[in-house]
Amino acid sequence: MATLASGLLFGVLFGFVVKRSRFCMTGLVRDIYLEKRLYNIALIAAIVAVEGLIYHGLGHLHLVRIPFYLPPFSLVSIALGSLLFGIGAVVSSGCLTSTLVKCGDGRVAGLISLVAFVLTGYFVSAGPGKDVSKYLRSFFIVEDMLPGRRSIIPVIVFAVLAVVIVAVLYRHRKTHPKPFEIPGRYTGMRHVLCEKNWPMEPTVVIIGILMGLAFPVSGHFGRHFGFAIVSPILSWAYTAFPARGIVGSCNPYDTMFGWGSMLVVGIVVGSLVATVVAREFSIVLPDASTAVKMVIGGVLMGLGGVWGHGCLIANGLVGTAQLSLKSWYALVFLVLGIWMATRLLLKPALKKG
Amino acid sequence: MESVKIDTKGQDCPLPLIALKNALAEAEEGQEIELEFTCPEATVNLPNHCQEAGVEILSFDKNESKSWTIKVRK
Repeated sequence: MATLASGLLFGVLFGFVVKRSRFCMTGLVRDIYLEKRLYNIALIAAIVAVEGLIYHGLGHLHLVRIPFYLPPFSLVSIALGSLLFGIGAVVSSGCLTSTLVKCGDGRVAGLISLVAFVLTGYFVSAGPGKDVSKYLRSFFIVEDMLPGRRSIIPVIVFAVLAVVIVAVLYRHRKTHPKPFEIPGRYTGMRHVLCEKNWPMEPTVVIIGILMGLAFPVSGHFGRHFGFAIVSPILSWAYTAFPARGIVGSCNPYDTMFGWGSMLVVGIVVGSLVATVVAREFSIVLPDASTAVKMVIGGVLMGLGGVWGHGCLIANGLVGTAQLSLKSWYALVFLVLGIWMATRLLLKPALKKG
Repeated sequence: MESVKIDTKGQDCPLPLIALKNALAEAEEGQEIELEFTCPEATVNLPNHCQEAGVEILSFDKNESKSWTIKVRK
């Protein structure tokens, strides 16, 4: 019971923070290219640095289990899967986390994307399509061995990185014009919790702390991993429709119902709570073309999430902080997928002014 | 000069921003543009773009139907 409650709590906190800040990982990566916002690199790096410092720091205090061995991975499967996932995230106007947030705030588009993801993800991980997934994982296999990953070096590197990046964020906030404030109805804490768009700088630090603390908390319950989205969502389908020989994703724990399963539910609940207290909740129906895009995006994220062993969160923000070579490799293709889809689908829609 | 009205309800980011950018590209100097949207993330990126592009924000309202309307002048 405590396992499920703590997973749910982390999900609620994360969902609330993401909703209140309008944080969108796909949007951050997309806008590095579309809007030339290089500053977004610092925002993403801040999450990884803060989380990495907590993870490796607690690892040295023996409060987090840093594995001796990370499983080998297929260069082909990870590259193809991550590329497809990145494209799907742009087509869906947000990755799986955004999809869960949309489910919480009443956007039916999110639900459509989620259903398409679950059906496809189940098909290629536990259904007839799992043989294709196994085949893709069977060649160009490399070891995920980074020398010194369990030494004191990562603690020092992430500590320096965290200090430098947080200083960069602080300086940016001080030297740039204050962002436009939406006219508010409330004051004080009610304004902060119920209607203010939280600035991105403290938001990314909070997300880094949440993701870092997820390791010791879920580890306490026997799940030695951080935030994950793909397998935890699919764990609901695996529970409802049990299958044998499931082709797993970013970690071996979440194919079973548990901490991760409740984390993803918590994200929906956190988004719902933030939306209701802001009096923003309403059912928003997509038009036909948006609905079709959601299906296509969900299918691509289903294929990509399983073949790429994870999503923008598990590979892009969690595995990178763990210094997994697989996740850094996946991140390259996730970014390429997002930029490729932005170039082909979004850029042509812009008129020259 | 007539003001331009754009409805992007049901569309998610970055489509409302693209719609605003396109309208600004076609608008005459001083022309007003009113854009209605339901994407919550656009409450950040629309005003941010206006601020960066030097576009004047005339009003920013939350509507009863749970959408938002931003009115700007080029």
